[in-house]
Amino acid sequence: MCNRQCFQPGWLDKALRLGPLHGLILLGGMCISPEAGAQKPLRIKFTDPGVFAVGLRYDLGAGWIDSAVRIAQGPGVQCRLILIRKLNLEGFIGLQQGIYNEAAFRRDVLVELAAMYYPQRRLQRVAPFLLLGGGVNSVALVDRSNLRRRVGSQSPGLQLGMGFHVHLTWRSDLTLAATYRTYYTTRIALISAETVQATLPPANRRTDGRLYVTLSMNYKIADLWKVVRFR
Amino acid sequence: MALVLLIGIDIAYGQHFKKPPFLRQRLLELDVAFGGGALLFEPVQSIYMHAAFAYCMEDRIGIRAEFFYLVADPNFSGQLDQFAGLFIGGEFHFPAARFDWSLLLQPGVARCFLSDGNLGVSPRIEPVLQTGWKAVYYVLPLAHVFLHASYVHGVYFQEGPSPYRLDELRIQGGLGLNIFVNRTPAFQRKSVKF
Repeated sequence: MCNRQCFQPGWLDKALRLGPLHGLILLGGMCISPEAGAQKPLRIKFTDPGVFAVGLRYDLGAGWIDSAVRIAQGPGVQCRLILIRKLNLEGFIGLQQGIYNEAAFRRDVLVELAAMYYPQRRLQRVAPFLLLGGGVNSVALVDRSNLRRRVGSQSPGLQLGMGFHVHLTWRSDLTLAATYRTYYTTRIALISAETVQATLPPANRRTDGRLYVTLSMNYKIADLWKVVRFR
Repeated sequence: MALVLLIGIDIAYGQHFKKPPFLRQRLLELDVAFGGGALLFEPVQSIYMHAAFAYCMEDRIGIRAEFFYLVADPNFSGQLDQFAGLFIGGEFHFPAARFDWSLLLQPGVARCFLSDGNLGVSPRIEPVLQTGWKAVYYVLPLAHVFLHASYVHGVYFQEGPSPYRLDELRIQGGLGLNIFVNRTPAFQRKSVKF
């Protein structure tokens, strides 16, 4: 068995030797693989500043609207950059949908940036964190009886929460977080047959707040502080 | 006799799994599958066609993108007329010799349409989530067979006054091609100098 230290022929050698189909698949692999074009070793630990990660997430949000709990949910993509040992920066874009009330449902497009603080002295396999962030929500209320009837607005917001990472390997982690997000939206109303079907924020409230549970999977792809050097 | 047989099985099992697992990092898989599902909140069963792409970034960590398409029965009232989607997510492997079983968590989006509820409305995109369990056997160096059981969660919100729940138990079986790509040693990068 050849270990990592010994010579391994490059992808081009293999492509030429094994034929065009194999070569095409190898080229595809080179394109999708984060290990493409490797030369220098990268030792990633949980805490290394500069480590950049990408991930997929699923948000499940619950709000108290018209005396009922209403769920909104949806997928999203995110990235993370460890700034210093105890501080991680996370940004994400997500699409969420859910019933707003009996007459309307809501569709949210969220763009957010958050800072994650790790109280542990040294990050371990299970790493709890506190989260504080802000973002913009593009929300639309849609009439459930006529999907062409909708109103929307963009609103800034804040989020506060906590959660934990479970580092499955040095590079991958699973994260569970609970956050409360509140958006300071201008009041919009969905009107149908001269009747107000729904208002956002809900009646008697100034902001649109919801509690979220987020599950995400992340993979560290690069060490930016080492990859990018200014000389 | 039974003891001897048990000891024999134990030795054979031990020797079998002392071999390094076939699945390791840089394994690329292309799968096709055929399967069925049963909706939990609607009295409907469905037939699906699946196609998937998977890549092992590490020995036990992979990414898997899966496309599914509902083979709808137009004469079956209550079934969705259109239901197709894409799941993308992580896969955590437990390989042993030529076997592998894995746990999956895949967010995604689906394109749904039910003509009974909102006539004249075009199909809508809905968020969905799939969690699954997959068992694979690598029968050849370049081919494998697999069985995949999953739970799909989602809601078709626009459908009438009460939402159409997409929660479903699915099972699929299929075969696929696998190949090791990109033999560059792991954890290495090229430095970009400015």
